[in-house]
Amino acid sequence: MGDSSKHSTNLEAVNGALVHWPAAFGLAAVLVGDRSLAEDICQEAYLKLSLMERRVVDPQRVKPLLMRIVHNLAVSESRRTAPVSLDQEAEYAGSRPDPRSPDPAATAADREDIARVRAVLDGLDPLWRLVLYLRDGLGLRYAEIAEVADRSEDVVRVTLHRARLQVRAAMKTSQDRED
Amino acid sequence: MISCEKYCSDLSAYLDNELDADASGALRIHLEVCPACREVLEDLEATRGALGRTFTETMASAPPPPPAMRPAARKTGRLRWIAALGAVAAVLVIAVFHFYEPKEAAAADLLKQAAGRHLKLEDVEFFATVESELFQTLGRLFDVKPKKHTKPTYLRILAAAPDRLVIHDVENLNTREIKSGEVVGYRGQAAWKYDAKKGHVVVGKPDEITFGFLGGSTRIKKGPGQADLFKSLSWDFVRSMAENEDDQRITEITGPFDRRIGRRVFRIEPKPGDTGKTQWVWGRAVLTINPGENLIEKMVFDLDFSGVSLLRITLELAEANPGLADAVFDYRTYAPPDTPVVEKDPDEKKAAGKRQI
Repeated sequence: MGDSSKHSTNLEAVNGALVHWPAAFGLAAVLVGDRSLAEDICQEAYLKLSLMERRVVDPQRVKPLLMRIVHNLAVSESRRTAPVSLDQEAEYAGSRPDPRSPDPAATAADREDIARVRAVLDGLDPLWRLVLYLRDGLGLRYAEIAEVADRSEDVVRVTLHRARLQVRAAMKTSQDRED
Repeated sequence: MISCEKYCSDLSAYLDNELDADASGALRIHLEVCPACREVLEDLEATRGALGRTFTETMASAPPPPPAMRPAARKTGRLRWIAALGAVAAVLVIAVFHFYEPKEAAAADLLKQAAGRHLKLEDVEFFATVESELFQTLGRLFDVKPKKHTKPTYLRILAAAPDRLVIHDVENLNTREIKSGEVVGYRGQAAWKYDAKKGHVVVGKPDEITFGFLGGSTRIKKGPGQADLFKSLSWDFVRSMAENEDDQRITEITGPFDRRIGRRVFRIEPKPGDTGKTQWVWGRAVLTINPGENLIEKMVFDLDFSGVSLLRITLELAEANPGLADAVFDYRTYAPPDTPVVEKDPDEKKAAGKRQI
């Protein structure tokens, strides 16, 4: 059937997008601050993607589309529930990398930095977290970030700059306090 | 002269290689003479690195993705017509409710023609107007707006009866039965309980029900008619559906060859992809065939979602259609030529016919 071949192609695109699952999960986790909820959001995002018409799901540009869906779902979810810090989740601690494992990329200093960054991120505006993640986590171009965030490139540029400065300042304050 | 402040605001874009050549060149010259801006740039670079490591760790800790979705496998050989008939049954149902225009001319036209002259719409238990997304249907049906997926994942409800459920563990590929009140733990994260009195699965909140889908699940609040959905399925029918959860499309539910009676009942399951736009609808059709008269006597079509019946239509043939007789002939070639046909007395046949629906 003609229609079934269309859907097959759409399925292929959606299945191909499964490689972006960690990225989608990361975005949801950064935005809602809850791993369990983030996983739910990702599930729903892929479901939405699978239900979209084939012409909308361009395999070459599926990543920004997926990120946009995740963002919209996370924003809707955040309006309903108060965010929870990622560090407060004992429930899913077992599924996270063991901090004691010998990971050469993750030195003790890195771990301290990561903990500080997490604490700072929790207090940031969701739009700031979004642009930081899309740029510094996923390496998207400003134009792609603008598409996902539904903002102009200028807004993305200014927001990203302010967000980085804010993170840096907060990290320094935190570091000074610890010292 | 451009101020330091203006240059500073471009530092992130400079770092990200998002400035045009002119602006980038001007900023580079400024950085050579301005230690304050150089320090900000170094700070931004360090921050970017710390953010990158944090986000990478978050991504690395992501749970495994759901299993890949698979399109329906192609049908081959003698099963093709019967499987196609199942698909056509779905098309017919869809056509009845005006959300699909069948394009498969020969078979679809045949059944449409039959529907007009020989088939009777007897019993519609649930009516659903589908546009394109199944969730819209569910939302309308239950008068709620399904919003989110929740744990536990990787479980799918295959079938339901007044006192039990059959669930399929997608991850571990096993099918199990849950009796009313039995609590089933899953990965230590959540528990399911089927409450027969309330007629729904309890997952955390008793006023919600969970549907398995896409290796995940969706919670939908219990709405009007929810309990009736489960009660609408007889246990025999449910069990026959659950017994063949593998990719088998056609199942005879009137027993093995040596215990056949005059009426033979087959279940046909069109899979996603068989019916075009309904690819997310799991449909099951039950066909009652009278081999003695070369006649499809009855077709029961269940439009369902993960084992929950949304719509059931019973079509009955009043008289034989020559075109359908050809179809039945094709079906008969599927069965071994020496298949014995044992006639039972009419009362027993009638009882058997009632049982299978």
